[in-house]
Amino acid sequence: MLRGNLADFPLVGLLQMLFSTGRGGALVIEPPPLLGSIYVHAGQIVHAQAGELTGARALTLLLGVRRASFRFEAESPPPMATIESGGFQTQARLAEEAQAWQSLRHLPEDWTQVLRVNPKARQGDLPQSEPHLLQSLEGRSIVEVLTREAAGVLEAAQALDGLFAAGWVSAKPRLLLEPTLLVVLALYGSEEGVAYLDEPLYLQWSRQIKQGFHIRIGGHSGAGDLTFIPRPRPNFQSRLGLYEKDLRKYRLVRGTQVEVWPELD
Amino acid sequence: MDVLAINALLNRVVFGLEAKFVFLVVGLVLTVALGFIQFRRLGVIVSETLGAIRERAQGFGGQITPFQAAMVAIAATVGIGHFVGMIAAILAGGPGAVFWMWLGYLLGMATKFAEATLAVHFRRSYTDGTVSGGPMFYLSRGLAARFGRGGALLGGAFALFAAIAAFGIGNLSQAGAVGNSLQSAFNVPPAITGLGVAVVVGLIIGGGIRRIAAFAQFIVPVKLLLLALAIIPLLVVHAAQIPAALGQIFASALNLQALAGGALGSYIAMINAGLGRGIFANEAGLGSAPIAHAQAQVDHPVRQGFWGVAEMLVSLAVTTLVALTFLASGLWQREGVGTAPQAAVTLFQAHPSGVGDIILALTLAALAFGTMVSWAFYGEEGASYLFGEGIRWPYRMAFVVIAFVAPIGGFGAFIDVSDTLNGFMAIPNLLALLLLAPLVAQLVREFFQGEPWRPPKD
Repeated sequence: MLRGNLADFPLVGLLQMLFSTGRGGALVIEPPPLLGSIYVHAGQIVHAQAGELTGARALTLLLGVRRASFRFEAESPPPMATIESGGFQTQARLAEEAQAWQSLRHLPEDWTQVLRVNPKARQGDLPQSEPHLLQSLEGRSIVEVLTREAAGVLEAAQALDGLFAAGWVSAKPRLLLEPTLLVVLALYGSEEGVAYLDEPLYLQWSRQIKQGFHIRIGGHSGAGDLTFIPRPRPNFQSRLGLYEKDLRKYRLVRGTQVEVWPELD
Repeated sequence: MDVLAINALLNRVVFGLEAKFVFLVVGLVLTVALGFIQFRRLGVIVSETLGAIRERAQGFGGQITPFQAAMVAIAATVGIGHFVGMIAAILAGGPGAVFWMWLGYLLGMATKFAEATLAVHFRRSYTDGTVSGGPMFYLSRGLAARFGRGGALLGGAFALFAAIAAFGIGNLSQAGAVGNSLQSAFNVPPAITGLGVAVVVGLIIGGGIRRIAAFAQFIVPVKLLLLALAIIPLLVVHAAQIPAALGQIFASALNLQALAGGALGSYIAMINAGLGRGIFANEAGLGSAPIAHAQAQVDHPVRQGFWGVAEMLVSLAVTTLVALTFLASGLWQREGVGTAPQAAVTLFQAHPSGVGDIILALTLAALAFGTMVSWAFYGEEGASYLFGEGIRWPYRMAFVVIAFVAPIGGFGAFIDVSDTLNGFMAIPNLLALLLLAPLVAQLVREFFQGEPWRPPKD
């Protein structure tokens, strides 16, 4: 069975080899960053799937993956046909898209990383199309943005690359820690941007992460995902203490159950 | 002078007008020391208690939630005194008594806040996750630096008074009231009521604070629902007279002309009656409720203090509604209305449901029963403070036996003595509240600066 890593065998080269030998089957790309498959039949691509995407969009996305394990399952029949013959199988088109991906020098190779928007980003300084994108990036992984952005995979990647180049966004590795459900509790005082966690939970996360981290709050209907500087507090089991100002600012209500997880600084 | 005469004398001292002014002064000192917290921070208090009602099942680990602790305290506080006691106060002091009752409540809120806060601050936590607290602990631990063993002695005295008073005012009086109510409404023989009360109380208190809290969480809404069913239809019946009743309260309380015209005696009777309800109905200063508040697993004592104020607000609402109903009915002016219990029965004859006597009986029975269970816990905590954990089950057994015999009656002398001891509980408690007022103020300051609670070290 043909298997390896896209870092050693770029996808375009693999596909060209399959076309030239006329072999049929499925080229399966294993996660991370996502599960993908390209079905080849009689020297033509007939179907592609990448996460939630299918067809030409899926193939475009897979062309941008620079590092992932793959295997070729010979004679594996396609579940459906999503790419018309004479379309994407044109080698020139594949090479063109691969070239476009290669020109994106600032987009990280690891698409599982989580995006963080530079808090100082000012919308006025950005191209007209990007403020909207910028607003939706915080806390999402790169692959999630590329998969779900309506504008098109390559267009989204190019926009992201531009934002990385300009320093508007950065990416941090996603921590493999499950979100914890906590109940919001009001704290009184003048501080802002600080969240208190029960001491044992804070220490557990500190031990697991071993470097500076912040916490992200999700799962409420307010202003999207929020980040706070975590601090430990005794007698705080199952609670998340937030200052009044932050509760008002983000329209959070005490007693609300939220998902909380740590992210690297 | 025999024992009962001495008791009667002491009772007049601890529940007399002078004693009531002491309660008021302590409430005033705490109100000032805490920066009028019950008024200035009312929004926070409401948001932390009634506004956090959906968090009632969410504690911070440990035994019972802050809400449950407050329910245990309310189960004890909102009792027959809120109903028959309020009617008695108006019969004795007239409409102006309500004004003085309100004054007692307003200042008492600071007292109850301080009690609940100190109870959590000085409570003892044990390795099995249980806690114990209340005035005996803030007396012994809080006053240790100032009085050495004197604080422990005062704490011991408080615990002794509470342990004995629980058998009388917390058991005999309450079980007797349940027996009377069920006998008058349904002709249930007192012995049967006694057996039923003893079995149910035994089952509840046998489960410790967790089961008591679960019961309180059930009985308090039942009490409030029954009170609403009892009072609101009567208020509707007498709705036209409510504005006049409110006018009478202020006119009577502020009638200084009558005072100058030689009606000093009746004016003092009005103050005495009103303050009696404003202080003793809600138990602020007596030191009983903090024993329940100490059980709350909470991140900061001040947060439980807010529940102390909420308890007062509930109590105030109930007594005020009862008072308005009675005043609007005009019964208080009628000749030959009789004693307070007789007046209550007459009042309920006008109940639009036509079964006012049954509603009254069930309400009184529920009020008394809830009070009884919480007082069993207060007494048990007092006894365990004095004699150790081993006393808990014997104390519970004794409480159950007394609950069995209480409806049969004939324990007037013991009830009188226990009533006096209940008043005695206030003496060390009020002293501690005055001396520890700066500490409570410091805790409040720290809480509103967002600082964590630092429990005291021995």
